[in-house]
Amino acid sequence: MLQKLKIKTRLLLPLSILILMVLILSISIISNQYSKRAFLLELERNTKLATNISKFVHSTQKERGMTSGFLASHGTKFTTELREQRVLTNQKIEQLSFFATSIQNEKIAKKLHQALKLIPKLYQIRDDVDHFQTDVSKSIAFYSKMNEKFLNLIIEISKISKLPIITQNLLAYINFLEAKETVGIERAVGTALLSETSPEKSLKVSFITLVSIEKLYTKLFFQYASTKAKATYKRYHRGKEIDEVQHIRDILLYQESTNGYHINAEYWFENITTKIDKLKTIDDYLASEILSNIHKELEKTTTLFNNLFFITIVSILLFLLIVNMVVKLLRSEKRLKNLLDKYIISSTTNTKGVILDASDAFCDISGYTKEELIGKPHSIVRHADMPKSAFKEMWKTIKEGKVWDGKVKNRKKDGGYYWVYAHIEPLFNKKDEIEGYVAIRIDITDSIHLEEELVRSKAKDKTLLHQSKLAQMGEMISMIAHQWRQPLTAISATASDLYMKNILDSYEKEYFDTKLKRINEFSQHLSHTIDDFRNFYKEDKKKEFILHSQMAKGACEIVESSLQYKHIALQSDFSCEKKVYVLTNELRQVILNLIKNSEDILMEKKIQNPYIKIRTYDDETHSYLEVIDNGGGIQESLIEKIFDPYFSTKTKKDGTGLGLYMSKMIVEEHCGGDLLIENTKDGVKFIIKLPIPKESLDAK
Amino acid sequence: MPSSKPSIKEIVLFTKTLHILYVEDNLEARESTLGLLENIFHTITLAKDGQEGLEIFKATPHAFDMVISDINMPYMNGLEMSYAIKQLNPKVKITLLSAYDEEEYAIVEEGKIDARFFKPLNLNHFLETLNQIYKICYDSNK
Repeated sequence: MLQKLKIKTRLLLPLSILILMVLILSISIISNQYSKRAFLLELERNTKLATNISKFVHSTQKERGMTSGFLASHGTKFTTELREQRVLTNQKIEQLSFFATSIQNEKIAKKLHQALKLIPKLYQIRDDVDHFQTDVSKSIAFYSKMNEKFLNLIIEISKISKLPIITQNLLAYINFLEAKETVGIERAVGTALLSETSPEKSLKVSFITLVSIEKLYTKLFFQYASTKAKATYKRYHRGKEIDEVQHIRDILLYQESTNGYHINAEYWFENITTKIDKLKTIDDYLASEILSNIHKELEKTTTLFNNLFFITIVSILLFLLIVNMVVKLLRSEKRLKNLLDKYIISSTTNTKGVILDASDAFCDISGYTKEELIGKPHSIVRHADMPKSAFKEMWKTIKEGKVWDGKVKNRKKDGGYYWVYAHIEPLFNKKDEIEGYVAIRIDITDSIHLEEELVRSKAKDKTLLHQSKLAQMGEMISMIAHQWRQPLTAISATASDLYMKNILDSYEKEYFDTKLKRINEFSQHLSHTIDDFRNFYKEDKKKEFILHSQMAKGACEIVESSLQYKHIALQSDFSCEKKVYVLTNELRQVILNLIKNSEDILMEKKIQNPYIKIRTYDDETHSYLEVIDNGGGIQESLIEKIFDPYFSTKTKKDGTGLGLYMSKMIVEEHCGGDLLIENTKDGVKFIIKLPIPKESLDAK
Repeated sequence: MPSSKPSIKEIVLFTKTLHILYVEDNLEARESTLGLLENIFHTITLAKDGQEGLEIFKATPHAFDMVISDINMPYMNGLEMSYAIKQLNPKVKITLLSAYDEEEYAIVEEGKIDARFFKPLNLNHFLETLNQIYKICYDSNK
């Protein structure tokens, strides 16, 4: 019974997943800014496909709602609307099929092809609907299944995405939207409960479930939300109306209702509407937060990306609109109860944990049939990865009559697994004794996978950082060796000279004096260079305003001896006048890295008259630093990969393939700029492009 | 062959008769090393790189007893110069100075180079080697 009343929420799930996927897709667009044009074009096509899919799905969702209205009213309602909606859906199918031909990614093209095979079946179902040869549940189940197929396609597309911050924003946002939508349904159910003098008991059970689900989603929201988002939620989600909603909830939850509740339905409606309006404010904030985060990323990308992103956001807004419409349709449709069973993973057990009832959704996800589950202990789905202590704690809590919720990994019949966020509540009989437990769960497998992906990519970055530090250290030692060689030679020769003079009795006081002073000077020089190196490799505490050319000079001093030794000419042309705001040492290391990179190529290719040229200049908004060499350039086909980790064109063992990757990370992620590469007529040009902060512009 | 190890004074007594060509591109190393070499040799002619060194040598190939040269230098490196010099005058002795990491110059053709030192120069090792070269010189002259 209990599970059967959650349809409305659950029907939203496919839609919500869709929204999540589109949002994840937008992350994928942004993260792929690192790749080059060809990749971007492919991404653009896939994104267009995704938006086309979502347009199609929205249309079928509408059509689904109208179909149920049409069938429920035995053909008296939605007749015209349904016909019109089908025409719209057909248009979307046409667009989608047209689009399918341009998809190059094999995996996606294949899946799209498979999904499109369902279209003839859609026409069949429509025919059945027109002749009343099917019922509400069957037709809706078909539409939902079809949509899921197409939505999976978007998941496939979204797998390209890898932007941690925004993934987290999106997870928060989607859970928030779920929570808000649940409140919307609660408004309808509550109104119905209060409108009727003797409300159906099922309505009340439905109401209880909705309140629990809202809490679950809100908890998940809090888990992913940023500090600011949490603060915004707390700031807006309070006040008289919200207290009043809670008050009425308590009455509805805990009072028997044999003679109605004596609460005005309009009064309830008014208060909970205010609550939803407040949630809308938070909703707007979350959207703006994601937008602003994405904008930060977008600033680095071209207009092309901006356009794509805009399309994505517009389609999200469209989805939300359609979600609203579908939900409104569903709210009025009581016959859909059995569908709830399909979408909510729920079960009831007795006090010993023996399953008394399980929803279809539970059966689907676990792989067991209802018959296999009922009468078995709930540990049938227990996964070996879950520590026993977790269940101990859960049992302790619910036996005390309290609510327990948490993340649980469950085992499928086939040995696979799925993750749920479970909410377990005790059921009380009239004597206030626990007579069993009810559990409602949300499938969070995808979220968990995303989280794991996040952790993995962070760990990978850490290893890379460590390896590049080691490589840097090796380079540093070799540079020190070059810087020290001549002064050491001079000190040693001078000392030997004095020693010889002493042995040969040609001691002259004045000569000794001058030479000893020279030794002292050389020692000072050695000590000075070692200080330079120490400063150079010191970790930056905070950003500062500095000229590009100043950092370039620092890097040149460090590398001068090494280049001189290799007979590479180092030229400079500094004309920048505007300061940038960066982590000086990190950026200086990037410059050094680019110089070393050129040096390696010049040496490896044994270039005649090798040179490295460093140029700085400004324009209105950016300050530029270029490192140019005559090392012959890089193949156009490899230029896209040059910034990939572990990619190296160097044949010697010292090419770790990390230098340029780390450099790009520092310039783009730590300093908010761009690191670009292009071929010149006889070599390669790296460009560090950094935004000029307002403060330096004002100062000028 | 003398039975005991010769003293520095004894070695210098002989080397003070030699005319050498010293080739080094780095100014500081050149000046400080020159100071040291002046204690040991009679006449020292300086050159800034391999090309200049070879030209000076070509002018009077038989005026020099020995060439002391850095290896890593612009225009012409010490090895190339040495091979050319040995062709002009096979009798001239050649010692090279190199840094530890100059692997690319490590392979030397048999018999072309008489001695090789690492920077910074170890005086005792240098004198000891001069002694050995000088004795070979001495014996073959006999």
